[in-house]
Amino acid sequence: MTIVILFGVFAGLLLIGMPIAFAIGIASAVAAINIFVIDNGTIVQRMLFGINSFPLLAVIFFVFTGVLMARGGVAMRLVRLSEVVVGRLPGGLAQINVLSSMLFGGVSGSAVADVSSIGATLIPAMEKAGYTKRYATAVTLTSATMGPIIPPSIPMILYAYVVGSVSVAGLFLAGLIPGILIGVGLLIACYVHGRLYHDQPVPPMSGREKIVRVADGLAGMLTLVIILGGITSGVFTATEAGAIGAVYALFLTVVVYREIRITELPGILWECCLTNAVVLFLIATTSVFTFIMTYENVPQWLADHLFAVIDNRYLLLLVINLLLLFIGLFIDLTPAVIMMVPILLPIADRLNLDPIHLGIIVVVNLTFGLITPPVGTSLFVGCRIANISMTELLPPMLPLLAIMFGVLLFVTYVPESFMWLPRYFGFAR
Amino acid sequence: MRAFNRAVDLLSAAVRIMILLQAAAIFAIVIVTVVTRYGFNYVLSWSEEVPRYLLIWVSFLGAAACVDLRDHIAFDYLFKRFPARVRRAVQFLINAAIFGFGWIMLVYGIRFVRDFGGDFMESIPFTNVWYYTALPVSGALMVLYSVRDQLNVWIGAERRLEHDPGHSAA
Repeated sequence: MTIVILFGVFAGLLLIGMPIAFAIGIASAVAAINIFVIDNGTIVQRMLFGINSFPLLAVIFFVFTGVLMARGGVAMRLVRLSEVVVGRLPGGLAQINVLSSMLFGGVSGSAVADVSSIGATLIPAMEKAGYTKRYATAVTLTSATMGPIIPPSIPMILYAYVVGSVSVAGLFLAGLIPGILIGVGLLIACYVHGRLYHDQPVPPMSGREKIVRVADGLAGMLTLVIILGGITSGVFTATEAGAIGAVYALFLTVVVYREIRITELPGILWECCLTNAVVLFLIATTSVFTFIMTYENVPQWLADHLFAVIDNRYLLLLVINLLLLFIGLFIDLTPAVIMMVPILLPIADRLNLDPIHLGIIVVVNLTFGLITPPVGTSLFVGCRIANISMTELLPPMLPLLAIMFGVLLFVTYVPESFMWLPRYFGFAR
Repeated sequence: MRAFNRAVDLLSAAVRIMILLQAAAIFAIVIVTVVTRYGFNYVLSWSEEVPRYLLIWVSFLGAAACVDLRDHIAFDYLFKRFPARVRRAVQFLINAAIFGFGWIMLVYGIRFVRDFGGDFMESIPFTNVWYYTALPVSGALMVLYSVRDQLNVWIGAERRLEHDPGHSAA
């Protein structure tokens, strides 16, 4: 009964447009009325202790780094670097779009930052070069999904926090190959599209220009080396790596490139505080929700019944994928990770799934939700920048989504393809 | 009403300054700790604990600020498509629910502070009151902001909000 109330109230409030964190909190408070041992005192206690965690500090650091990198000219320099590498291929600008998103994914963990910085430049540029607006937007959006998959990744930090016993370094390393696979798949799609419709590459440039652009871009990419190198070698924790990344981003954008003025910093910090608050308040209210679910033994019950109905490993993995894709249609990546993982853990445990493998399945699935209608954070930003409607966008997006789906199935069923990397560094068994 | 809005805005500005100072302190402490650890092989005893408490403050105060700015993530696909009358009714329900949840945070937060706040922190000689208080303060602000929002909806004074859908951290 409690569970019906918990999920019923949550779904009802969600659908009428209640902020998700409050929908979760209120559903928990209402459900708690039925349970003798959980009162409002427990609710406030869970909320406080739910975010009393040092690793969660990484969120604000990585958000800050991402915003600086997007606004401070690093994203643009990665676009120029990409032009050197893939600009001469058929479908040059589309390829540049994909490659720069892939590289940007390596300095920031955010798809939205990617869409708003790279999209704002490349969508108009692609249109000018004769691509349709909807194709340009579709390429921007799908390629931006690499942001949370390629390390660093805020959703993976949250996943590690919710699971409790999985290393962020392992997850970061595990995300590298699936992210690159999506990137390569999209590059091939752009190549084919270019061959068919846009065989004019971008104009050539001098060798000197190439060297300058590559050097300039690599300065940004050093962030990835610092963060990944630091945490895989055990020199820093993920939180410290986030702090160092933030310092490096500040140095690069304020001192070296001088594209961000010191007076702009309080405004940027304020935005990051708001983003951080949205995420951490979600964690706070969800920890009450999860507490009630666990008290009522829901995840275990679900796992038992699911196994009673479906006992085939491959089918069950497919069901998990479809469930996550469905959830992603309505709920943003961040809250979905925080809510779904406690439910999925006992199932993954029975399937003998490595928690790192589950993390990749969860994050890759839910990144679809960022760009699929009816709601998707990246989708909204992309539509606003390009001034285009969701329905127009859908046809050119479908083949690109199909490529992502192919990669998703591949990482679901062939974990050896990427798990060797975290294993090699000793972060997975 | 205008005076009330201005008073609330003034309070919000104070909250904003508070949040920014706390966030800056988090950055400073963590970065200095990294430097002292690897540079001088020395770590201040409170360098792990204090940033956690500051994070709690930044997050709960920020969550209240996000109520004021309507910045929390929501599924608003249906909401935007409701007829105007229904939308007003639903908006009232949303504000009432936020008010209610803020009230729980305020009242039970105060009780929690009173009953359990007396213990000392792990590494510094302060009691837990110093960070438990973040919860009732945030609750009080949420109560205030939900009332302010509803009053403005009723008198038809839509406040201009710069809605930024980018607060998903993903």
